[in-house]
Amino acid sequence: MTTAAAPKEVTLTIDERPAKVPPGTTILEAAKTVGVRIPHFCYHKCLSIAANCRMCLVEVEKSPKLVPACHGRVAEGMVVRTTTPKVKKAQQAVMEFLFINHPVDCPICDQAGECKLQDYFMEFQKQLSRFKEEKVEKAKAQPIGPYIVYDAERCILCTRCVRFMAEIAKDPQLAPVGRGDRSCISTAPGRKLDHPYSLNTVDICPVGALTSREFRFKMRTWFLSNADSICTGCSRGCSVVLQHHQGTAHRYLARENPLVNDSWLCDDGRLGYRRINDHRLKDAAERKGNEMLTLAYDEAVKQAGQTLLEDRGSIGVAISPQVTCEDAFALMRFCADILGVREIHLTGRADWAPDNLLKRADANPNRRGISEIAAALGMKVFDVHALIKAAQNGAFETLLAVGADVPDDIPEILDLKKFETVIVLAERTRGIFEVGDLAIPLAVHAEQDGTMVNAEGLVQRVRPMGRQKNRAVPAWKALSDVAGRMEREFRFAGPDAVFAALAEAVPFFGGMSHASIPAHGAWGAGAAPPERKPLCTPR
Amino acid sequence: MKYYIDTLKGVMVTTRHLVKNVLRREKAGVVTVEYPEKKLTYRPNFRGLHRLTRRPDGTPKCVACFMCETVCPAYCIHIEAEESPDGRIEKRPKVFVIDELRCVVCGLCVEACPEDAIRMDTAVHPPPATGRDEFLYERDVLMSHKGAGPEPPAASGGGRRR
Ligand code: SF4
Ligand code: SF4
Ligand code: SF4
Ligand code: SF4
Ligand code: FES
Repeated sequence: MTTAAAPKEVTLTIDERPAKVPPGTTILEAAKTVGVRIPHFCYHKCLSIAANCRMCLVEVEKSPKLVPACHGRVAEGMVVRTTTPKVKKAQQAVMEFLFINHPVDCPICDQAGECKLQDYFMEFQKQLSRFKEEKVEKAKAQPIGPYIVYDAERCILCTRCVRFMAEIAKDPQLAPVGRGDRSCISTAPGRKLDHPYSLNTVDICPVGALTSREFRFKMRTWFLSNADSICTGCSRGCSVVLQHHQGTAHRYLARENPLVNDSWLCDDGRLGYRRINDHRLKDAAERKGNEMLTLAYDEAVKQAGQTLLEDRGSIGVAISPQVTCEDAFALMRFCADILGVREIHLTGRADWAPDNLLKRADANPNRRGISEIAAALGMKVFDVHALIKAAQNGAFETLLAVGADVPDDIPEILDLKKFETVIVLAERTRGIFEVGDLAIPLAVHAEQDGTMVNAEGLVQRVRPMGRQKNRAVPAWKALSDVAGRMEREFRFAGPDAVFAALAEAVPFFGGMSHASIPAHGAWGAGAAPPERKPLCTPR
Repeated sequence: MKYYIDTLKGVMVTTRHLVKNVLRREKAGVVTVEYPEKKLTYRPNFRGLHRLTRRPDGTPKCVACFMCETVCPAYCIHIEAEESPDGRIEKRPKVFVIDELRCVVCGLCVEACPEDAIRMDTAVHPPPATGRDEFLYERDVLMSHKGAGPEPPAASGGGRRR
């Protein structure tokens, strides 16, 4: 008998739908490709397969017993059924077992509204518990780490958190302990769950056993709306879902993106959503003595226009790599076309300590994008030290800054005061705002329809929350209003139009439009997709 | 001409009812009560001013689950939650405000509450006030209201369910 080459594809039927998948695929993943959803708790795409919850049982023809779909691999000609009475009965039984000692704390449980137990109860159990004995009581609300609270009663022992810590964080801080209905998840005695990626365990815990101490009780999940966005913590630009309510950002959740962060975020980045809310500049302001007093937006724009007209020829420009490509492009066009300035200084947050998972040293999300735009528009780029030097030796009188972030580890930054006039489009009342003379509130990434480019050259969208608690505007809008006061034609119809002009002028973005950038982002022209080891456990 | 006759007919009907109602009240079935000289007794299911019920130790039964705030069609309930020092209750309202002026007295909050923590059994109307702010009833005020009917049974801990 000759050994046939391994087939490239396996054909099988799942719920009467024909599926074609590579050999070695699990039944659960194969079902996804034909739109069949199989309920599961313990399975996670990026973790090893534990197959301990048994929620995913399906019927496979010629197999005497039900098969866990997360673990069973496809085979040629396999016939899988996921809705037979036998499967339904198994699902009901699994759910009933899970609820035997479950407290059903939903009114006080932060997971309510996004809980798999709740969802699957409504979908698959649909019957009341027949359990009449006393429930086993276990430890509740234990702070097991700086960011996380663990509730042993709610835990269904799926070990997703344990596997994440061991396989992705590579720091096995968690383990299941105890036996039978006494078992729970625990850290080693005296140890804490304090790995800098620990909050991912809260994300993947299918129930309310692990909750974030930071988010706990602040908001019920069903009030939150989602905006696809990116983390602006560092130049990795991890994909996130920004959850917000009435103009306040409440948390970042990891958004799966195989090109960037798989399913994970670092804790520092995840908690960085707070910068969307904190210390925001709500209205335009001008300096009167030591104070910044509120000013009408129109008045601020008028003053900015006047100053820039008068000081023409002695203007320096700074930009923070925290701003979007749209804002950066508008600023550089404004420099070239209206101010006649061909130099730009990059400010931004100070570097932080990188790690070997996701976090990069550059704590700014859009340095690459701004560099690409500057190069294409022929702008010379200088760093923040050059800007400080210019202030010290009076190289120019007026500073126009877009984005107020500066490295807070350089004490000389206060020398920026030496500029005669500092006009700043500031997100927060920090950084350059503190030395500013005239400030216009700048919309952050969560208030803009825009793009950012991560260090590897991936162009990703950021989307607005839709409601704002301040009067912040994008820089392209503010700059066109300023130009209007300078009697110059400089207008954009909207964010899409800014990006269209940008894509035309900068080859890196050639051929892209806001609508054409997919959820996972698009590689800029000439950006080589890096050799990336996925943060997933190989199967 | 027909127009005037029809108009007159209409006026006659109105006048007849007026005379009947004023002179022969009981027979006409008029239900108007001479408030405040006379007062009706409310039915037991009358929905009055809200109150927050308490545990035997005086703390609110409310666990700040936001069900009432979620269901309220008039958006008149505002809750802020905090950690409770009692580990089994876990969650309690730091702020609980009802805007009685916005409340449409539908009683849905009472229906939604899993803890029997909010009730409308006080049998009183929100008293008149001179400013809108005075209709914002805070947690402690709501807890001080007395129910007209029997008290709810003492609660078990937190949201525990069998
Ligand atoms: S984990 Fe929380 S939300 Fe889910 S069923 Fe249990 S108590 Fe309810
Ligand atoms: S804490 Fe959550 S993720 Fe961890 S085993 Fe329990 S239910 Fe699973
Ligand atoms: S690695 Fe960078 S982009 Fe990703 S979550 Fe952390 S700070 Fe944010
Ligand atoms: S529904 Fe009841 S327990 Fe929940 S917040 Fe309202 S009053 Fe409190
Ligand atoms: S998902 Fe298959 S056994 Fe848990």
